[in-house]
Amino acid sequence: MLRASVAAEAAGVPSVSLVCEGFERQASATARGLGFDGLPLAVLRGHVDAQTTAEMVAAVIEHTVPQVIAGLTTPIPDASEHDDEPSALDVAVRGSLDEVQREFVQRGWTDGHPVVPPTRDRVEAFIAPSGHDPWRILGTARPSGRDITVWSVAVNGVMAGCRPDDLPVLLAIAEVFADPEYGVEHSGNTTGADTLVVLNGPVVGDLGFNHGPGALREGAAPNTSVGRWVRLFQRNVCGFTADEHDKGTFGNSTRVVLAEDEAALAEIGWPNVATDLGGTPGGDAVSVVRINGGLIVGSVFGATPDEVLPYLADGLVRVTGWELTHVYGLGQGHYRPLLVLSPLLARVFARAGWSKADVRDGLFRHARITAQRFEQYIGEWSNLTAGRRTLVDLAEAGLVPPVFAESADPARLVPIVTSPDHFVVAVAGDPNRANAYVMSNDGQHGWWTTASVDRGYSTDLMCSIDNRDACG
Amino acid sequence: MEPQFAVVWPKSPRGVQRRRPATRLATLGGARIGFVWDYMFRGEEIFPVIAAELTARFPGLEVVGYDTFGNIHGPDEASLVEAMPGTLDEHSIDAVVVGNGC
Repeated sequence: MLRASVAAEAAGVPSVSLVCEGFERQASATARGLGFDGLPLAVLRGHVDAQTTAEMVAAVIEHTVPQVIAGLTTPIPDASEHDDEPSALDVAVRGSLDEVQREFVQRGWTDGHPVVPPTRDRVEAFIAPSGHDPWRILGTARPSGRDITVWSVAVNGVMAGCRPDDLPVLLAIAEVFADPEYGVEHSGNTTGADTLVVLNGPVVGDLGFNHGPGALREGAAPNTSVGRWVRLFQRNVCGFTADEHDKGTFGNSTRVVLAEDEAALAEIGWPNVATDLGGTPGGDAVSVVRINGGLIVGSVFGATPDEVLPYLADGLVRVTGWELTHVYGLGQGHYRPLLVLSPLLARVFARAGWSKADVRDGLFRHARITAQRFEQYIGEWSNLTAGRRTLVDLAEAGLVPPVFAESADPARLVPIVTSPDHFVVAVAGDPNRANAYVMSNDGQHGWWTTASVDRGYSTDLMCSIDNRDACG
Repeated sequence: MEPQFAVVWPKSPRGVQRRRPATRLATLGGARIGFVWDYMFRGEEIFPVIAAELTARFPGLEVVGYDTFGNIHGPDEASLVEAMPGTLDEHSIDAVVVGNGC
């Protein structure tokens, strides 16, 4: 929303932005990240979704309208020109290990766990083997407006306990965060999804990422530390702390990296997630997405696809609720949940000759709910589809595919995604167990985005840390 | 003596250039006010209340409704925001009220 206000201001048209109570700080920080300090806000008292119409109207007239008028007519004072922020090479904290930890906690620079102190020597040693220019800017971190530099990636990598070998993986994830299609600026939205990284390619084995038993659990060093880096980087560089951009009502624990079982995939002839999402087959890649939540589909019983498919589809339905507003409402065709099959379950399909596309087609046929329930999720219980349009209305307007409106019967079954390929299927976990994991994604608020991991020695520089001008 | 650490800053400089906000209006009387909405959080109820209050208080004030600007949250956000300067110009908008962040 602030992006529209900023577009108007940049065009010379004054704006005032309506925000619910409690959003003032985040709105101001977002505007600052877009280059505008002090843009006026008009506050909607309380939260409009929890008010009667009479309560809401009274509050708007008494409180909000005067702020609208003031915001459009009261001159905005000049903002301070100086942030008083350190530069990258300044010593920000000096002290013993305990003193550093205390200071980092106090300044909000950690995730609550102790960090490896990012001394200049450590950061330089972290970057040096890659040959990267530490000052290369990969893009802008939204919503903070801070530069995403190799240096900032590395500082947080040191803090998270990553190894120098992990830097190419971190840079690939940072590249996704710099990509507007991903939408990192939504990472502090109120529903509180958190980022998941799926890792593919030879890098999984080469760097010792766990793809087997205990996948998705802390314990394997690279999966855990790279997952932790995501949290630290989003806090420190993107600005997702409670005093800036994090408005998550709840939240999830940091998600460890999900590495796929590349050997199992090769054995059954299925492409991995990165290839499904457009990555180069056989290449190293990260695929990044924001996940609302997940659940286990446990003890799947059956030796044929027809026997196991209904239970897996049921899991996808059970993990899906208000997320259907990403089918239409908050998004349009942006619901793309993840099914993680254990290698054993994947083989049940493969030995029957099913490709991954066949699995997705089967899920599309089986993972269905009644149209009435679908419409309750998107328009009645959540009020996120303006006008509470029915699926028939939306199909007639061409906003959802015809499969959602094959009749007007509210008891008819409709899919939970707009096409079979919107089910993302991964293979990981204990190879000898018949369990699966399903996860719901947060639509465009962290949209599935893939980037290659370049592990080659960089030719973008051999420049001195001290001499930024020499770094191109 | 306990080891001492000199650690660097984990943030990164703000690369975005600061800009001056637009000049505010001297009065809303006679102004054309655009309503820009993200199609969430009861804007269809809130904007008519604001419109009624503003038009009652400021003679000659005109409101240009949110349908003109499209849904600024969702799949068309980027294109609509990019087109915003042209849309504002096309409709001779003097100021905008943008909502709702909740």
